[in-house]
Amino acid sequence: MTRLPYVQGVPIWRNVVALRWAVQIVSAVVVLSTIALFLLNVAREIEARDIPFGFTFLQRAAQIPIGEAVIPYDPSDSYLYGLIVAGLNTVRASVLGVILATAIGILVGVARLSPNWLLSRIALVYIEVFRNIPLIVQLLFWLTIVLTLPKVVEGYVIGDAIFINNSGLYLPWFEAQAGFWPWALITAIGVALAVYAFRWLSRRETETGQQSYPLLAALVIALGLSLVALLIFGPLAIDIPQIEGRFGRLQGGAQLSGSFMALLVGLVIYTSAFIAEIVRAGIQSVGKGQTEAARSVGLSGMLTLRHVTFPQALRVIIPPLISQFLNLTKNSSLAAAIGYPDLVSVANTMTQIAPAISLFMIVMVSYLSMSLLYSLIGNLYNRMIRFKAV
Amino acid sequence: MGRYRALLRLGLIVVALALAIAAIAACGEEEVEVVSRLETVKERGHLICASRNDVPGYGALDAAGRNVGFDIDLCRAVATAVLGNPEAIEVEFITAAERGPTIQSGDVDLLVRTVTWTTSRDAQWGNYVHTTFYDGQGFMVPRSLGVDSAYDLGGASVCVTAGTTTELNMADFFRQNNLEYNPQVFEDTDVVLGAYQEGQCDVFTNDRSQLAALRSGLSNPQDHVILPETISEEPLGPVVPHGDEQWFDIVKTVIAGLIYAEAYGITSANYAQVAAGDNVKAKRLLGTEGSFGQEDLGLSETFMQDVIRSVGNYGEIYDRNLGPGGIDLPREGGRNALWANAPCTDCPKGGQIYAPPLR
Amino acid sequence: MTARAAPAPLPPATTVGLQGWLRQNLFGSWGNSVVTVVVAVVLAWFLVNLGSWVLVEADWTVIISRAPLYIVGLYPYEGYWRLCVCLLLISVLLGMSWRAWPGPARRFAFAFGAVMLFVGVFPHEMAPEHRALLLLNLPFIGLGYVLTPRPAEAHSGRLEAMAGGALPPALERVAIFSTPRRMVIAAFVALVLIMILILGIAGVPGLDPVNPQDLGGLMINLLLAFFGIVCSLPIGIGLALGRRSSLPILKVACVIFIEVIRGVPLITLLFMSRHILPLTFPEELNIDRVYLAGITITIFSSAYMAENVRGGMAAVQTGQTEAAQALGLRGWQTTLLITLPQGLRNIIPAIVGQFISLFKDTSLVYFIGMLDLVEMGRVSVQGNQEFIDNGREVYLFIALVFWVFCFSMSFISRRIEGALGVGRR
Repeated sequence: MTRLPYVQGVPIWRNVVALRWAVQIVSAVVVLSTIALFLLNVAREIEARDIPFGFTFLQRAAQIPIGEAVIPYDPSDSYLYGLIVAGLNTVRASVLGVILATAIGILVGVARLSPNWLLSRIALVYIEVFRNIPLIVQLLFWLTIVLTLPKVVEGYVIGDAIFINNSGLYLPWFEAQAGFWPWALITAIGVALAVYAFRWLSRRETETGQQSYPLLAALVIALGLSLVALLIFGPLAIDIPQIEGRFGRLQGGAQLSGSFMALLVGLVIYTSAFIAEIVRAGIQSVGKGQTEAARSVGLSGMLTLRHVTFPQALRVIIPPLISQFLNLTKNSSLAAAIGYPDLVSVANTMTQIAPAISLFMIVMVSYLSMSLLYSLIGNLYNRMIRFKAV
Repeated sequence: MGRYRALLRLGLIVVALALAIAAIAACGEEEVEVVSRLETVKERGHLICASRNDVPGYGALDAAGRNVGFDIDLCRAVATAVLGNPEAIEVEFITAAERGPTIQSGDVDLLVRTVTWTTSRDAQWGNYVHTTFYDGQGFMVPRSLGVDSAYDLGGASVCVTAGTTTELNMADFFRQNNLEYNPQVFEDTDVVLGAYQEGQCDVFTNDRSQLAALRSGLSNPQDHVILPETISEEPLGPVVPHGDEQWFDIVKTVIAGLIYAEAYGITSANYAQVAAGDNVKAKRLLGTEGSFGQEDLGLSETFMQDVIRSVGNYGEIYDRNLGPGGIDLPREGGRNALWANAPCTDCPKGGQIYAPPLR
Repeated sequence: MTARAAPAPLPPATTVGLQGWLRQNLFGSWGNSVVTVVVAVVLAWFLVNLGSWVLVEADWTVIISRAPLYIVGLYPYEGYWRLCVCLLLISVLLGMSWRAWPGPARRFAFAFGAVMLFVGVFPHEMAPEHRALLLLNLPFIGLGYVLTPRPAEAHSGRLEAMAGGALPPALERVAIFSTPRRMVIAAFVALVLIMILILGIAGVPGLDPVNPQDLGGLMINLLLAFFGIVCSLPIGIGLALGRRSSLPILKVACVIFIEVIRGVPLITLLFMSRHILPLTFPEELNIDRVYLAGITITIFSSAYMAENVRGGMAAVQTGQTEAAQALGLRGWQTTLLITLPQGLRNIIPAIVGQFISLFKDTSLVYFIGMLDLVEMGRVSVQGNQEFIDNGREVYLFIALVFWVFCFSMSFISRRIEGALGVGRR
């Protein structure tokens, strides 16, 4: 902002500096007094109508059931802890959803540009069907699909270890043993080395034009080190789910409940339809001349994609992609409708006893902080590409 | 120097502006004269009830879009008592989570939405008027599992609807008895029922009346058993907002009137003959002789005649919605029959539906 | 001078006709052929299963017996004719747009007319006067068409063909909506009339006020989305200008507002507005939750709209502002006269996109107990024991309704995008 000089003798109502200040102060007063008025009114009414409000309940025992939890939960835990458990469920759904939706979105977006007419039409139909139906309707649909899977005892079993049935998906999972931390440390070092090697080989490739296979090298380094350490330390034991008890329920392993699967499938399919369009637009936004130029200087198809098309497309893709991630996270709040214990769903149950307004305030603040995190990532990325764009 | 004077003047203008805004705000704060809810309702011309539309028998929408159900009929009864017209109701549909905030804000006159009477809700939400239906939570399991007691349910996967005391009672029960279980919580009854039918869960827990009604809708009702244990007390009834005693009493009296009408054998078919007949107590109820406090409550002498004409007595409301005319819950011998000493000859007795004497 | 003929090259693979098309698009290579076959088999399996379920297994009573509930909710039966009249007004507007803007609007008018014709003659339970009013829509589309003059640019080429060419001169003379301003006024008047017809006015016979809560079904989804988008445009522009402003306090306030609204799920906003907002109003002013939902959706939408507007304005080339400054326009003049109009032109497709997502989001008003299309479906299943197993039919039907609306809007949006040349390189 340029600093404007204050000019003597000009009447105040025509002076730019004074006017700017006046507008600023007036807007500040209006904004602040509106907020103050709003809060005062709400506070007064809450008191006058005896509406329960406050946060002391957070320390009391929640005494509500939460169907699935990432960290151990017992109904005797406090409301606060219950909300954290629920928040982690939301995070779990969003993180898995974001990863899967991106992967499927890219696949569908590329299929949309495929020379195979049928495939590209199918991709178009996928996109147009799934992004034009409200998510809540889709979720309810997927839930009924999950429910029509066979029962546990009659369910699908893959290799005696993976169980698919209407209670959800049960996978063998790892149990950490004594050697876990050394192994984790070595794996981390391996990853760091791999990143360094990837950068170095990429630079060499760009500078000298020699084929250096940076991705391959990086993968070999990371996986190799990790595998060797795995053999030495034996850090993980595998826990295989088993059918137990008189009701024939599965125990052990990693469980993805039926409603979680329905939520995940719904979120992933819905969001991937949007991501596919973003990817398609991104790839198409890179001018044809760019590819042709790359080819004419002798880059191969793969190298063109990696060094020319992709970085440019990424710049168009990433910002709307992040806003789709945010949408997915917010949309996971519809889990309440299909019985997955996310933040909104658990808060809903807690309103049986605890003050609803306070609970929903907590929920809103939680979502807000998640969205701020996404904005932060987006801004960091923007700053990164701005530096590179010199 | 001119610069500072200019800014000073500016500052003064801004302060004046702020003061003006504050003054406007302060004007809005003047005390509003407290009007009784009865007056408000009469002036408004209709009664606002918070209820539901998704439970057969209690509150639902029929094909013509009309609100029907036990809870809705209670709302109609109060509307008739106050306004003389059973159609003068506005039904606000609310979700389970909204029940507290809705009645607390006082925006509705009556909450009749299968609300279980608990002490903390009574303290926080509003005043519970009267128990109009006694329920208790139970478990339904497929007969093929061979379970015959709720205490054998360790390790089971249990289906339950979200956001109700049902969910909390279930948690209490399993924890108390040190039983492992896996709760499957769903928002909607049809989904819970679907999950149960498809075997996603082994047990369906809900209020026993609901279980009985849902079981009768299953393709082979005899393949499912409702376990004998009742794990909770679920007295259901209407709630009024805190802070208006007169309104509280009005709703209480209307319900007492409905119950006594059944006890005295007054129905929508015969109320006119009874009003002209010689049963002193019945005549008092119908307002043709004596009084039971209508005047003090601000109601007309004969308001119970209107109520019975338009919605019938307690028994009629029950039969129409929960009994043979509705979801067919047995009443005879259950807790929702009239109390043992009810002054009637051919009404179902031996239950807990009771009201203080009308006098 | 005898040129020796070179050995004739093999004829190229045919690229025309069905065979050529198949070869080029489906069986270009081995991989391509495998993909084609796999996709085709899966597709056929899916379609056969779906078809047999829809036609044989499904029981559609739950839809047919309660059809009015899904469309208009609890709107009183005596008022149905008013809704029919609203449709007539919409027909006139559609006819006008068909004439003035032949490309996308023509299909819309056709589709609308076809639906009216179908509902009007389809044998089902319906009062004859409602039937007649629905059929009247067809002549009303024609009326709107006739009342609008031929657009100037339609005199040549393809547009003319789509606009149906010139009408007899006698008919051209009745074209009273001859300027854009008149058309806008007509649209505005029609909207006001529609609102009056739907909600009614106290004291006017035949126009008894309708309790806003009784508005429901598809109607409330459409109304909320439409008013949400219309009302959020000015607020969104204001917020975007605030966010672009160089005044720090104003800017920060706008940024916080936009980011907070965008950062929380709509259902939590709806819950709060239902239970907190009324506390700030005077007690006598009992605002119906339909309006509360409308306000919330408008606020929610305006935050997104602000970001659209900001993006559109950022895309205006700097040369434009520099030229404006060179001409001596002040900062606010540049913004209002140069950047904003061009920016708004840029975001027309984005606005349609937002309308679509808003329309889908209106299905969340179930959270505050409003009977929109989705909630009506849920209630039909939940509240009636005979329908407790018919959830799939209901949700498939609802999905189809939403899909038809959203898809046709996104179709139009692409047409506009093409017409405006947005995003073309």
